[in-house]
Amino acid sequence: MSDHKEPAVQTPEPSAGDVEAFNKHLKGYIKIGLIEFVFTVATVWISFMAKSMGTKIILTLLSATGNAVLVAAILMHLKDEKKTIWKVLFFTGAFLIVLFFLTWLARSDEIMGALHNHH
Amino acid sequence: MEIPHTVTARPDTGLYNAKLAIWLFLASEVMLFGGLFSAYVFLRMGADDGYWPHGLLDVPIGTLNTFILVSSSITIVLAWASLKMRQWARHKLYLGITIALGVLFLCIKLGYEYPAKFKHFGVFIKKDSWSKYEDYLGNDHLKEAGLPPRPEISGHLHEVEIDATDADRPLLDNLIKRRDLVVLKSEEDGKRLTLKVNSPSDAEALRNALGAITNPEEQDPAKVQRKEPGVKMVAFEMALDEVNADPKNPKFDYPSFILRGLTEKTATIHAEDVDWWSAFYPKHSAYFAVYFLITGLHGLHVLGGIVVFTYFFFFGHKIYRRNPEQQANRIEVVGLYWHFVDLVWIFVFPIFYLL
Amino acid sequence: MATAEITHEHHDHDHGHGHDDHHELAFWEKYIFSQDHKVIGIQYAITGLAFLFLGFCLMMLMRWNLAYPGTPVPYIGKFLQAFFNFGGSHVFTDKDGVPGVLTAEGYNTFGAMHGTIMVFFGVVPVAVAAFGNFVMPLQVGAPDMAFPKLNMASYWTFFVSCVIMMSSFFVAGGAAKSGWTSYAPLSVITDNGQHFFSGQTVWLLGMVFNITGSLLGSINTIATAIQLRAPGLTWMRLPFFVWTQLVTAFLLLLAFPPLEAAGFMQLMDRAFDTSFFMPTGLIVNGHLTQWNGGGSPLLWQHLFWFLAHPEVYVLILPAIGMVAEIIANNTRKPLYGYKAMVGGIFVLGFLSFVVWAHHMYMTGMGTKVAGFFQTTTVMISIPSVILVTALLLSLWGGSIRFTTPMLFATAFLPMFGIGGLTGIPLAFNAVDLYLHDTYYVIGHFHYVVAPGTIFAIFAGVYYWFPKATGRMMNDALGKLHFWLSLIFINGIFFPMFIQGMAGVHRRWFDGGIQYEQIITPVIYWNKFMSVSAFLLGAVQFVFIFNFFASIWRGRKVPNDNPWDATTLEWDTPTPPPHGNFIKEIVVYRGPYEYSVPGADKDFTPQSEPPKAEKLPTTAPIGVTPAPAH
Repeated sequence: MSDHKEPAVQTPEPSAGDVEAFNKHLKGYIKIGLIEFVFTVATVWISFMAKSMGTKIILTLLSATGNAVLVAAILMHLKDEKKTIWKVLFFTGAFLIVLFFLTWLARSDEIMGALHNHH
Repeated sequence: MEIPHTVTARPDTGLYNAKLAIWLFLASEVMLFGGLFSAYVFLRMGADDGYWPHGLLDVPIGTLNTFILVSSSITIVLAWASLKMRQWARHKLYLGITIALGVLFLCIKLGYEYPAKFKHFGVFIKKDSWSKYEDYLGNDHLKEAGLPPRPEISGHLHEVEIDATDADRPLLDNLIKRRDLVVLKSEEDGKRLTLKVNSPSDAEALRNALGAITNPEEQDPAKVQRKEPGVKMVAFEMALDEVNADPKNPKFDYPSFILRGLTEKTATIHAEDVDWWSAFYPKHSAYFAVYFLITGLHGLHVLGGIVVFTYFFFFGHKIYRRNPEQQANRIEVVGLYWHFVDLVWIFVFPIFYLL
Repeated sequence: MATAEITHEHHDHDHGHGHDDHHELAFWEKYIFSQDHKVIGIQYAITGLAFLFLGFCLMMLMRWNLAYPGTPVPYIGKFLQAFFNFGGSHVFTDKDGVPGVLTAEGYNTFGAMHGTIMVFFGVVPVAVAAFGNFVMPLQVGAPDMAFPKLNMASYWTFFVSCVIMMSSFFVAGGAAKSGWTSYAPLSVITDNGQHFFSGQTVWLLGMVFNITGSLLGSINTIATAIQLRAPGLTWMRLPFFVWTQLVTAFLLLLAFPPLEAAGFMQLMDRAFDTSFFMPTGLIVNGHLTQWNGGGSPLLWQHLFWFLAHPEVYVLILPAIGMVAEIIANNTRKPLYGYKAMVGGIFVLGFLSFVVWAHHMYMTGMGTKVAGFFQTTTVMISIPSVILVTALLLSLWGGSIRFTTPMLFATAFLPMFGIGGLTGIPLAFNAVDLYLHDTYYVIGHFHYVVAPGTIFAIFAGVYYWFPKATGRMMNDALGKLHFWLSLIFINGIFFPMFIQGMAGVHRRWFDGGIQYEQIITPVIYWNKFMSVSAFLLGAVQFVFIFNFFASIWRGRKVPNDNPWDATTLEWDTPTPPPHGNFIKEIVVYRGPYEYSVPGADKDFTPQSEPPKAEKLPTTAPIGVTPAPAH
């Protein structure tokens, strides 16, 4: 039933036009890489410039998130995916947020300071 | 019997099987690292003021590692694209670079960062004794500045003074010889020893040294009783980090970009004032515990990716010749995994190194 | 046309290098390291059923001590003591020279291992992995699971976890004894120090392997359900069992990793003296422990229950799926409220992630947190009620055939009902303050799992046994098994509610004798429950005998579809060959087209072409009618 003798080439051999498009893509990826370098440097810079811990946390994580979005959307081609993958990730993200929110809530809402360890 | 959609996508989902599978796997990995990060949040929020350290990690090295992983993410996409364009040589080049970058990342982590931590030593001073060590802690200055206190003195451990009254002498002498420790001073007929140590692990070994046997006639090894604690720590002499050598200096109030170094200045810390002492191991503090766990697990994931890429580097050509699109899919799938590993690091780096 | 194109591609373009069936497989390739989902399903079933039996035996030993505290186990006490005290642990001890008395330490060991084994090595492998692997690919019309090699790897990873977990009984100090919940700091300090491979450490290692196997399996399940559905099998035509397996797989996929993370942390606390879960200043036996502190025992509880709550839905969803299939088949009518049921399990799955702290009401949580969890916990009862109500309504107006599977499936409904309803008081922390850690809780969750899930598992075994073996299980023995099990299982668990409300605590190794002055009115129930347990155990031998005897001497099935069912797994030869289907499968209708008005028989299989076309039994490619979406 299955023919194992000759490998069937799934896609036709790339044409010259395809190769050109590839080289353009190549430049595009390298550009993304450089933008990510900038984001990384920005993250470090922000963390040393920020005044209070609160702003430090928010801005640094925002910068890191920017970097992460580039990796996810472009390098992982998430922006080209159909709904299925997005649905899986949406649920994952929702549960992740729940995990963090409730962690924070549990820590910040306590009876009689029961949660802190005292040295 | 063939399984449908192993190579070509199913029209309504737009996916071939392995791609869906890797995204599902990555979803579970998000929850794994998410669980670890939520533990981090939990522990950090629960830490008393001053007991969550900052500025202990080498930021320039961490930034370099970030550049390395980001670059490897780019090169793996280029490797995949080359394969889709049926340019095998180019693919192999980019794949090779990706592997090299991954190996470099691990070498920096395991060859420099971790060992440097294990050599470093910290002593937490009891709250009641903070005033005694004010010259090294600088808590008055910190209080005035409205900053959290500093309970720890850190640096490199040079000497320890021990009380070996209850120790099993032959075993102790053996330990000293085996670890190349130098007995600098011996008092009270050998009961008080001052030893030069080479690393904090020597102090750990001394602390765990066995006490003398109290029932030497006992035959059964399970019933042998020993004096406790064996060896008691009396004092530590250590070279101080910059921040403890000059604690009232306002430039040390906040962490700096360049990792702060060791000074020549030494201090003697008495064990009775010590709450807890340890090298910068996982057990040192909740901070290092979660740092080593997350970076260690992340490192294992990097290693896993390297192993698979190396396999494709050497053996991929066979599958490529038989079915090039399938090989391209495989690279794509492992590439997605590799990007995820990069993503985790993109968050690990600011959270541990910067915040 | 879309379907034609899919089948077309399927033939020419799509062989990934899957399984090469040109040569005969060696014995070990065919039966041991098999990549066929049916063999793997049976492997999981045998392993899982064996563990269910082992867990049951551990429970019987515990129940002996609850009914007759301090007395030696009769007849086998000597052998038990020699066996379990192997690693130098003190599971059993002598009393007046007679061996076989369960110690407190032994009771705790059995308690922890009973829970662990039943949940992770018994119910999940059977309900999720065994039935999921065997039935699900057949029901979606697939030749196998999406990743056969991965499937094999999942089973063997699971097998390794079984070996590791069993070995924990024989290490120095004995097996884990800090509850299946392994709360820190007790779990961290127990048997810590002398030997690296102590019971709790081995437990953690076993769990890591078990979780890994589970994750790999759930990836396979989801990929199969999404990618390998036969042409025409749209989402709303899926058998309900496939839906439950899909949601279950998602729960396992997303909820297990935080427990794995927590497992690593506890391993580090035990092996490397870290303080993830160890509080500062902990004093044990008068000495400060070697842990620095700064950690939080609560963190373990949060991470553990983040998995363990969805885990209980993992235990029940496949069971509901199986019951739904059997009820539809044996009432000869479609399921009532199929769409609502599907929506229900999605809501259930989602909500199951946000209720976990109802296991932690006693930990000193603030009012906001407690309020949040009470609300979500009460909310989650709604989809459960929708499911049971829909199944009950499915019975209305049906031509009910009380075959053995149907007996179990029907009994599931009130049993699960009791289990679910008794959970509602526990949702409120004011009531839970009193009932927490009492036998009321044990009664509640056992009702859901034992006369709940396990009855559904029995139903599934009786139902799909003919497809797997080509023979029917003996009906008379099956009915005997059912009635006696039903009576005795209620005898064990119903009095637990009474004891619990009177204040009898869980994990009292001697049945509460030390607190007799408080619980005198209810303590006599211990003997009643224990005798019920022993009798229930004896009855299972009827099932075991029936199971094995029927494999060789059972009545042969009259055809490939002995139950006159509609779903795709009955469209295969019996037992199904490698590749499952011998003809092209195209789906034309929903999964429960029973008693369709105007049809010539009271069931219309999903893959039967519509009458008007007058097509031959195999649908040729390119002539398939457009299926409705």
